[in-house]
Amino acid sequence: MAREKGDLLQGTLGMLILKALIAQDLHGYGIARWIEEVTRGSLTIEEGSLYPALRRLEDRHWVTSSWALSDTNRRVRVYKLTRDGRAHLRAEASVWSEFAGAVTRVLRHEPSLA
Amino acid sequence: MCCVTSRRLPSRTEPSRWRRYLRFWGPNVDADIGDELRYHIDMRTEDFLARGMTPAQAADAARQLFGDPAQVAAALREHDSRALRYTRRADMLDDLLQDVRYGVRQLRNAPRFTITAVLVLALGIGANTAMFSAIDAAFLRPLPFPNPDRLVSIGNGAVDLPFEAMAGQKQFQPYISDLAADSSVFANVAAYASGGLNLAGGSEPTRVNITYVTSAFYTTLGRSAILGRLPGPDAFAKGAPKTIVLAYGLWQRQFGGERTVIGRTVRLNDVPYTVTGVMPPDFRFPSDVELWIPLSLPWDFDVMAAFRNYLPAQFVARLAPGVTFAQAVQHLTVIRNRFPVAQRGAPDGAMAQPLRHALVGDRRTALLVLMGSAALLLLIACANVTNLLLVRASTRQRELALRAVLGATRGRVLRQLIVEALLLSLLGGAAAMCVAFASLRALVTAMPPTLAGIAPPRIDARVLGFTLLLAAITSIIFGVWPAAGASRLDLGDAMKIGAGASRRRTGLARRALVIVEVSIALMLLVGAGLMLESLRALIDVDTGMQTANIVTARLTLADAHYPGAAKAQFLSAAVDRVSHAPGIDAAAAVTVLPMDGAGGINLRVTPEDAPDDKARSAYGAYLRATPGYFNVMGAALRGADLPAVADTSHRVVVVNRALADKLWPGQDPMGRRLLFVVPRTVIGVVANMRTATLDAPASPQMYFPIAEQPQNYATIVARGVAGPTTIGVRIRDAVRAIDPNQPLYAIRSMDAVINASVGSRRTNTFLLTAFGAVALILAGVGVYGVLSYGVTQRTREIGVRVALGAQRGDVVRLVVREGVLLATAGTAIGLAGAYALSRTLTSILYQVSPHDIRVFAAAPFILGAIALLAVLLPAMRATRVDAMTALRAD
Repeated sequence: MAREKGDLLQGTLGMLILKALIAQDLHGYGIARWIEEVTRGSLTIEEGSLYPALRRLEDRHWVTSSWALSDTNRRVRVYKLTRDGRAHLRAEASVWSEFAGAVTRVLRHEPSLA
Repeated sequence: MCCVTSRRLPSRTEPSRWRRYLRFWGPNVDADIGDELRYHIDMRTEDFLARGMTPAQAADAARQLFGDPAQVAAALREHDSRALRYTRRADMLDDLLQDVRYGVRQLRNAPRFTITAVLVLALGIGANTAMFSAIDAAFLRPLPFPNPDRLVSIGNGAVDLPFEAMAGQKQFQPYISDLAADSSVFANVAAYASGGLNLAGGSEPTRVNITYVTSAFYTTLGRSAILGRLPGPDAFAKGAPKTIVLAYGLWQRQFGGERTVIGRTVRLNDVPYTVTGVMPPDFRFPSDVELWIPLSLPWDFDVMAAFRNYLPAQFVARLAPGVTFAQAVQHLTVIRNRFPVAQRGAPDGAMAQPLRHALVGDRRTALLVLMGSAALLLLIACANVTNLLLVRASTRQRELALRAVLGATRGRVLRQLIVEALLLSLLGGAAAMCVAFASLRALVTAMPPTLAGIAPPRIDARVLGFTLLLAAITSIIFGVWPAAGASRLDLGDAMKIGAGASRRRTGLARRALVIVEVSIALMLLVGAGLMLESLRALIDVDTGMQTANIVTARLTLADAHYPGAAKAQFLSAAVDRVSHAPGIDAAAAVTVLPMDGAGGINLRVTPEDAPDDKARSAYGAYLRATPGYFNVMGAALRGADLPAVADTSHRVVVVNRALADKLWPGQDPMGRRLLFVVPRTVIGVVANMRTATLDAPASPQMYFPIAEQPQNYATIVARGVAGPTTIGVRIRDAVRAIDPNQPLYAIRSMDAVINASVGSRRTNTFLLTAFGAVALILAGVGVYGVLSYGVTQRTREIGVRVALGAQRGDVVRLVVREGVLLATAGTAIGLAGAYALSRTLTSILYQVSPHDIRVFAAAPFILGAIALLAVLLPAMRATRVDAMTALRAD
């Protein structure tokens, strides 16, 4: 099960991060919290894996980062979605929805499991 | 959540200048990762605390949710470090590009400086590029044979004869059968002999250079045909069908490069041969060969049609694996020692040479001297450009200081200046390629003719690489010093106007450079002078003939058309026709023309009265001529001319002075008899005509009537006032009138024949003189530059002097004194250098001592004249300095 979750995350973690950044700029912890809240805790990720994922997104110029000060006056690295990132997310989301829809239709096909 | 941006990590998309600004503080990869991850875990822990966990539980839960922070940190560190390295590299490239852009702008803004420097460098680098292409061809580029270093040339060999030596005593010559006998020394041995035949069956009848080759020829050299096949062993058997292999050039020229040429029959001196193969374009061995014919051993007399009664065989051999060249020489010595001591000929060393050595031959010294001279020229060019850059550096001090004040590091300024130098030398290198291309044609004549076919000088990737390398090296030589000086500048000093100390330092450096330039120019001048003197001596050599208005043309009479006496009849008819043509005074025919590169056979003759006196025997060149030959050539003849008809009961000979002195020293040779197969009476003595080359004295010669034993080769000579072209046409018309199918070839004036014999020397002299002239100009410009700049710098001083009452003469003296000092110092060093170096020229000089006093005396005068001009111009300018303006300036 753990392995399957990892696989799922490999493919989708990037998309989740981009989605988290669509409304506002966030630091790493903020992204983790956002995902947690939106999925109501049903999709727990290994939070450490967020950071390598963020670097990969940065390498592709989908995300940029800058240093800022938090409310508690601590140095935080804040991530921001780029235009490229926004476009990529849009494309990725439609592919994902189509895929998810197709899988759902297959599973619902008689004899239905759901 | 966030507001104040205090610090940002670089990202590749940001404009480079902004990135560079950020880089000023530099990221700290480790601290950044630590901060980020710690913040995350701390926040999560606080979260759990808020949910009511104990601090220990909260920390534990946060850690668990996060995973292994160390592992994550390590992954991030690797990523970030790599990204940082990448951006740094991009920055550097960016800086470099900026330097290049800036440099290009700088050079464009100073067109006079740029053009001067590029021209100077183009000449310096171009001379070296051109010489390198020659050196590369002669010494470096592998010959177009597999393992060319294993090939050995053995000169003066003999192939197995069907009969005993015709006349005289047999000299030692290595026989091919002797060499081939021991295959543990020579894996393959081949003999080849080059001559000429008349070719018919191609697009037009022509004369071709042929080479007879023994069966191992192609395997020794290790090349195969590009079309058809090479003759197998049976083609070399006695009585085998006659076949030939074509050289690529002849195939293209005479057979239109058609593949159907294989199997076609062509006629060589009216004998049919079948074409079996075509060799690749780079296989021209020996150099000017146009087709190869199998030579079966022992050879037959019909082979002789291609030669002048003498088969000048050369050997090429491939060393057996593991055998060194020294061992091969030793082996040859053993073979030689089988002969009685008295019959041993050539000394061991001359018998065998590595093939490349043999091909380059005596051109080696000249090529190396020229390469060395080109290198010296480049040194002058570098000194000149260094000087230009030093001047420029001092005028650019304020600009550079400004950059330094604005935060450019010394390294950065240094790099900027070196990039500019590199740009200059690359431009110079590009122009140099043009210089090299232009001089390629001249270079070909400086090359060993034996290499012409297989290793011609060419501008290829190797030469291009050499030029690039040279450009890079020169930019370091001329660029680093001024750059180092300029980048070292003292800010406070430079921002002030008119800096003192550094200027004095570069002034000294500039003077030293000019002295170097002058001294090198003098050395090249001396070298050029020595070469010119020896060329003059050579051209002034008394050839023993009056070469003006003589035209020569060769022909070969095929045995099939002109058997026996018909040859003599043809020749006398042709000569008669030519001599009666308008504008022609006299004509004659001879078997071998002087200075024509083909010596003919030397045979042993003795005086009849002392046949066993070794001291009075000689090897004389055997020639035949029609009556009037000596008259046409303008060679003084004492006694009677050769008769037109042969009288077998009274055989006669005309000897040249050299032979007469050898056979009858101190005696009158007239009427005496010499032994050459049969006794012959000397009816005349002719003055020595130079035989093979201008720089070697005439060798003994004997002339017999051509009617006595007609040869199948001859040269017609004609003298007249009609002009060389017309005379040539007259000769051709006369021959055509008798036999329209008889080809004539090598129609040249006698002067052209002699000029051709000194062609390479002329080229060497020309090149060295050109190098010397360019060096002279560059040195002159150098002197001018340093003095002229000095006058500008000292305008105020001169102004003060003028104000204090100095006269024009005083001012001129001030400038001239410095110029004379520079020129004298340079000349003294140059003379010493020339004295030490000119010895290397000894072997290429003719009748001129390498320390020839006239040349050593004249060179400083020529240099002095140029230096004077270079000194006077700035001196005149100095006298025009107006005291008031000068004092107000600055």
